[in-house]
Amino acid sequence: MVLAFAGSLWLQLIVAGAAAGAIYALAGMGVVVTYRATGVFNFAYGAVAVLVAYVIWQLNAQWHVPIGLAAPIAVLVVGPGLGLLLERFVFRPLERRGASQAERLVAVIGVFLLLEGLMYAIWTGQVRENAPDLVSNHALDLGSGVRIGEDQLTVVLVVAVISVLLWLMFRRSRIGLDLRAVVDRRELSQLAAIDANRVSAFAWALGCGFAGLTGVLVAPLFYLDPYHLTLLVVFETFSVAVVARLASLPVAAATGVGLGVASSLLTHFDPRVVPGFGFHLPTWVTYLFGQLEQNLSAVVLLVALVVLRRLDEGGSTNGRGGLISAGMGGGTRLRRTPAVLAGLAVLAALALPWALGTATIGDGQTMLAVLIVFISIVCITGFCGYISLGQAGFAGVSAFVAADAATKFHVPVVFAMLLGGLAAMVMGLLTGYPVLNRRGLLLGLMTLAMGLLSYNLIFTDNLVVGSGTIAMARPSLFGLSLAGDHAFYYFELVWVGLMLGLARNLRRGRLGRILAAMRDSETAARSIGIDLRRYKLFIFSISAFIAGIGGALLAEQAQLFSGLYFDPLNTSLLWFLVVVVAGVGSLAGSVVGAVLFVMLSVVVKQSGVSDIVFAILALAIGSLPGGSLVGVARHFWRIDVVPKPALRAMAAAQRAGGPGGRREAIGRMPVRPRVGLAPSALATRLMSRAGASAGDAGRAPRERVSG
Amino acid sequence: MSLLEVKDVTFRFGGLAAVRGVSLSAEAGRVTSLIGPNGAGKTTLFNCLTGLLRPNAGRIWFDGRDVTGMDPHVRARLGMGRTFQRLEVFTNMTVFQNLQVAAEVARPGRILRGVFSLRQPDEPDVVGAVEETLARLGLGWARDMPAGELSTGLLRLVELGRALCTRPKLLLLDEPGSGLDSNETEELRRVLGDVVGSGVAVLLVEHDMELVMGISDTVHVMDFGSIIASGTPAEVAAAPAVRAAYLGTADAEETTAPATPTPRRRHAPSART
Repeated sequence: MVLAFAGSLWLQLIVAGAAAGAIYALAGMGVVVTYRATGVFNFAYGAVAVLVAYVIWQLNAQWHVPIGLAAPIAVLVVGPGLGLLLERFVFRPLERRGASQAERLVAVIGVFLLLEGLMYAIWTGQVRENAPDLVSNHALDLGSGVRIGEDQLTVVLVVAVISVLLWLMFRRSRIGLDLRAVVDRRELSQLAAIDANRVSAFAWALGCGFAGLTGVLVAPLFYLDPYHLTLLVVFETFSVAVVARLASLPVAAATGVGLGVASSLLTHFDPRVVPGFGFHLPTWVTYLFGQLEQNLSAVVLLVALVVLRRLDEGGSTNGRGGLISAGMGGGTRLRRTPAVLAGLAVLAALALPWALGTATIGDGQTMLAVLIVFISIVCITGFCGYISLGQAGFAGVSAFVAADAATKFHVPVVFAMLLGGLAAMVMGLLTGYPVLNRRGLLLGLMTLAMGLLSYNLIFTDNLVVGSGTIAMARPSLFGLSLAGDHAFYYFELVWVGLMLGLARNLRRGRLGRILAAMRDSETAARSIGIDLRRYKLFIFSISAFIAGIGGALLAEQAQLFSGLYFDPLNTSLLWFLVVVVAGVGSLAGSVVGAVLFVMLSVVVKQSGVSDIVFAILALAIGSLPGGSLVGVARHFWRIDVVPKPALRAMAAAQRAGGPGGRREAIGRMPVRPRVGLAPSALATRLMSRAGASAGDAGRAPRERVSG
Repeated sequence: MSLLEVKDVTFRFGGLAAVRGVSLSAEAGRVTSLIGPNGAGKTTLFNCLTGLLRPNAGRIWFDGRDVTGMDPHVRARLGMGRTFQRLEVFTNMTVFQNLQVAAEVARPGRILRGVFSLRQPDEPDVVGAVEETLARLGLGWARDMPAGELSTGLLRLVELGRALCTRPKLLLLDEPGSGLDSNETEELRRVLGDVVGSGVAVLLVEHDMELVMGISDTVHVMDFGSIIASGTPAEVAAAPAVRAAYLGTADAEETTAPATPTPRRRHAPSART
C-alpha cells in the first residue's frame, strides 16, 4: 500500500516535471533556432520572455483585457515584433559591417540589459504574484492517482506540436532550406536569390516568439519579477541550448524535459535516508542536494561546457575594431596628447576628495573600487580577447573572503584584502582550467555560470553568509587608521595606481607580445612554442586577482559585504558592457568607464536607467569610428594607435607604387640549381594541374567521383 | 637516424582515414617534398607531425626523441618550425612583432619578471636576429606595418620569417608558394636554398611543381592518405602511379603500384595556367 502510494508520488513528480520541462525544451529550441539561422546566440532570450510575460500581465491583470485577446497580442505580436525590431535595427547593421562574433555577443548582451532596464523602469523590481494563467489549472486524473493540471497538459501538447512543426520546417519546407543555406554561406545564398535579410528576420521573429511563449507559460508557475524570473529562464535556456550543442532540436527538446523531470524529482528526494539502505547521511550531503536542486541548470551548463567536445562556434572569433587593444607589445612611451590627458586625470583624481562633500565622497570611493574591477576586464578581454562575464563573481569572492577574514578571524584588513585577491585568483584558475580550449561565447557562458554559482552558493547563502551581509572594517597601516573618508580615498588611489601599473606591464614586452599573439592566432602561437595553457591560466588568475582587489575595496568602502553588489546578471553584465562602451581595448577605457558609470548612477537614481543608457550606447557605438568612447576620442584627436614610422612606411610604399627596394633584392638573388630536370611533358602537366588546385587555397571540400 | 622519422602514421576523421600508414623521413640540409592532389592528406599529416592533431596510430621521432604525444609548443621548442596553408599571422601586430615574439619565445628569459619591472627594453640580440631575418626575406621595408594590412604573398613570407626566428632544425612549409607572384616565388626559392644550405631540414608541401622539382632532394607523392610514390624528382615524375594519380582513370590500368587506390579523382580543367 505504502509502496503503491510512493510509486504514484514519483509518477506524479515525473508528470509535473515533464510539464515544466516542456517549457524549458521550448526555450532551448528557441535559442537553437535563432543560433542555427543567424549565428547569433540569443543572450537576450530570458529578457524577451519575461518582458512578454509582463505585457500579458499588464494587459490582463491591470487593464482587464480578456485573456483570449491579451494572450495572442503578447505571444503573436509583441514577441515576434520584438524579434523583427532586433533584426532590423541591431543585427542587420552588424551583419552589414561584418561584425565579429565578439561584437555580436556584446550586442545581444546590450539587448538583454536594455530590456532588463526597461522592465525595471516600467514595472519596477516589485514582485507580482498574479501572472495570468492561459488555461485553468484544474486537475485531470490520469488514473492510479496521478493527476495533471489542464495547464500542464496544454503546455506539453503545445510544445510537442511546436517541436514537430519546427522539425518539419527545417527538414521539409522551403524556408527551412533557405535558413540552412543562409547560415552556411550568407553571401552565396544571396547569390542564389535567397533574401538573407528576410530569412534572418523570420528566424528572429520565430526565436523571440518562442521566447514570449516561454515567458507567458513560465510566469504563472513562479512570481513575475524582472530579476529572478529572468535569471531562471536564462540559465534553464542556456543549459538546454548548450547541451544540444547549439545545433540539435531533438536533443534540446529531450534535455529540457529531462531537466524538468530531474529538478522535480530532486525537490522531493529526501537524501537523508538512502532508499533501500536506511542509514542517515550527514547534513552536508542533504545540504548539497538542496543546492543541486536549486542550481541544477547552472551545474548542467557548467558540466556541458566542460565535457562536450567539438562545441564550435561559427564565424571568426576575432575581429578588429573596438574590442581589441591595438597597442599590445609595443613601446610604452606615451605620445603627447595622451600623456597630457593622463596627467590631467591624475591631478583630477588627487584633487577630487576636496571637491566632494561628505555625502558624495562615497561615490568617489566607489568609483575607484569599480575602476579596479574594470581594469581586470580590460586585461582579460581587451588584451587577451577572452570574454569574461563573471568578473563580478571574482570581485565578490574576494570581498567575501576579505570580510570573513577581517571580521571573524581578525586578520588585518590589508592582509585580508590580499587573501581575498588570492581567493579570487584560485577561482579564476578554477574557471579557466576546464575551458582552456574555449573562447568567445562559450567562455563567456562559462564565466557567467561561475558567477551565478558563486552568487547562489556563497554570496546569498544563509549557511555561508548568515544574515546576508558581513561587516567589514576599513584598513589601517602601521597603526595609522585609514578609516577616514579622505584617507581611504587615497588608500584606494594607491591601489588604482598599482593595478594600472600591473596591467600596463601585462601588455608590454615579452609577455604582452605573447598574449597578443595568442589572441590573434592560438594555432600559430603554439607553432612558435608558446605554452597556451600556462599563459591562459596566468591571465585568468591575474585578472581575477585584480577584480578581487576591486571587490574587497568595494566592501571596505561600504564597510559591509553584501552579495547583492556582485550579482551575476545585472552587475556583472553591466560592468562588462560599460567597459566595452568606454573602450575595453585600453586602460583609459577602464577609467572613462568607471567615471561615467558612477556619475550616471549618482545623477539618475531610478533603477534601470543606467542599464538602458549603456545598453543603447553599446548598440550604437560599434558603428562609430573607433568603436568605443575612447576610440572615438582617439579618432577625433587623431591619436594614432599605429606608430608614426609605420604610417610613414606605408605611405612611402604606396607612393612607390609597390614595395620599395625589393627589386634589387631579387636582382642579386642566387638561384640554387639543384636538380637538372628538363621539364618533361608530364612535369608540365603536373604543373598545370597543381596550379589549378593551388588556386582555391585548399578550402574546397574533397571532391570525388563516386562509383 | 634522420632528424625526422615518421613511421606508419594514421589519422582518421571519424570513419575517414585522412592519413593512412605514412612513413617518411627528413634529413638535415635536405628538402623533402610532399606533393599530391588537394585532399590527399598532406596538411593533416603536417598537423600530426607538429602536434595539432594526435595520430590514431604510428610514431614520430624528432631529433632522436619520440615526440608522438608531445604538445605542439614543446615540439616547436625542440626545433620544429612551421607555416600554414591557411595563413595564421598575428594580424594585429606589426611584421616586426610577429617575428620578435617568435624569436623571444625561442630564447630563454624570465617572462613573468616583466610583470613587476618598470622598464622592459627590447632585447638587442632579438632585435638583431629579427632585423637580419627581415632583411633576408626582403621585408625590411614592411617592418612596422600592421601584418593585417599585407597581401597574401607577403604574409607567406612573414610566416616563413616567423618560423625561421624560432631557430628551427626542421621547417615544415605548407604551400608557401601559393598566392605568390613569380618574383615572390623566386625570392622564396632563394631563401629556401639559403635555409637548407645552413643545415636546416625542410619538409615542403607545395603545388608549384617547378619549385618542387627544382629544389627537392626527395619527393613523396600522396594520394588518398597514403604515399604512392617516392624518389628523386626525376624518378617521381616518371612513376606510373603518379601518372595515374594526376592524370586520371585512363592510365589506371597501366599502373603497377599496389597502393594505388580507386576510384580515381576528377580534376576539373582550369583556366589557370
